[in-house]
Amino acid sequence: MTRLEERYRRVLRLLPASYREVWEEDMVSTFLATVETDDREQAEYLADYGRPGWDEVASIVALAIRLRFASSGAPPRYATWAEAIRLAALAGLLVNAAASTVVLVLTLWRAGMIPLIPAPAPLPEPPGYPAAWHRLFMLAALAGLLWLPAFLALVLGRRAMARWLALAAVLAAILSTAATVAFAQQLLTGELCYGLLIDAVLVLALTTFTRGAAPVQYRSWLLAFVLGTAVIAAYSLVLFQPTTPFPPLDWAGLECVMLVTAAAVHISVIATRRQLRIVAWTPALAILAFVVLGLRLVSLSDYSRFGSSGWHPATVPLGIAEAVVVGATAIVLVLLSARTLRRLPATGADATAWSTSSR
Amino acid sequence: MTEPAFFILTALVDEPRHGYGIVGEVATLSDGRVRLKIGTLYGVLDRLVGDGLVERDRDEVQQGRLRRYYRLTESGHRSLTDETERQAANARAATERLQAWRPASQGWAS
Repeated sequence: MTRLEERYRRVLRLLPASYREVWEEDMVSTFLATVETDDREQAEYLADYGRPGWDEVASIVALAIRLRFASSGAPPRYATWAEAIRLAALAGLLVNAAASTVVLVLTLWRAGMIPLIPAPAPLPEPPGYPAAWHRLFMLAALAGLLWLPAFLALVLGRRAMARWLALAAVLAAILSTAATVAFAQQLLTGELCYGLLIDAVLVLALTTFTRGAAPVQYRSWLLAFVLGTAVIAAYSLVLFQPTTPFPPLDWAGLECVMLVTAAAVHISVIATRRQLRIVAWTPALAILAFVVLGLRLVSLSDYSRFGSSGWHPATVPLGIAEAVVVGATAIVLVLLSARTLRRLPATGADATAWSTSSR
Repeated sequence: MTEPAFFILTALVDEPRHGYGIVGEVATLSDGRVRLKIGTLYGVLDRLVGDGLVERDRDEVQQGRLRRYYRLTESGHRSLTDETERQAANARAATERLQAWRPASQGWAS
């Protein structure tokens, strides 16, 4: 094998293994034929020092991305995987939209800015906070509201608009976090940084909503938004009581409960239904399980770094138990996803045989 | 049907070809305008095989290298015929419009 061939095969490793199994030898043979020359000296030089051109590499990168994330034309295994990423992104957007709506309404309510509904008793002032903190938190709540139109745009099929709005929401979140850290002595916790990182990944995940992607089932997602907002609102009303300590379930804990509930419902449903959307929920929930597990672990590490004063004494032990349960759920979901995805064809050629045999 | 898929099917009409043969034939058919990269070629081929428009013809070994030949299926032939008729109808409609059209400035001048 020449150095050039080695280099080309290295580039081909970007492609899924199952795809390479079918096409690699043919691709290598064709590539080497395209660089063949009658000049023996040049041929020897190319064999030792030649590299695949950037345009060839770009075509392989594009193929690798299309195989893994494209909606139309991708083999069933990768189409399912791409659908899982879209479902996870939609769920993330839904949580952000519901949470930011609740936070804004509560912030306005507590500031006495909602007419006809009297403002609640003020919360105890965080120690050492300057007078500006109310205004900064109001600003952060307003900035967070950008997630709501981003979610609605995506659900209603305005995908480009949704991407731009989500990008604006992330930038606004970064700016408002920087402002509250700089001017309101907000601690720069791991949870804050983790949240921003996940938001940025979420914006990247929205790029998988390509033109060929199946339309979002807007009725189900709007209903899920209403339910999610109701759950978060109920939790927030319990959380923001002017009494201390807070209840044992913190925000990460609530996400753990929602994730484990959704996984339990899903696992009971997949036993009976096998449509692509349902099947894609298994890897989607596996992705979400790792995101929630990360949040849980980061927030527990914040408690150990900054102390958990103000929180219920059971919050940390409960948090550890939640991490264990979510970790176990993640493992189950990964195993189920691997089994499901392995059964689906990974190349177009396999897909033909699969669809013929499953008729 | 994408342009690379159209040209790949066209390249296989007269005889089975291997990957490199397809790349060369597509360049000839398009007067050098379409130069298929390997990733593009095999991405499209995988789809065409998956859709049953192209199938494997035979494998040959030349200078120690595998050469896999592909041929058009009946379904591929029909699909290319339909696409050609569609493109020809589109071209006719556009040509008629272009021939009937005169720029506004030309109208004033005459």
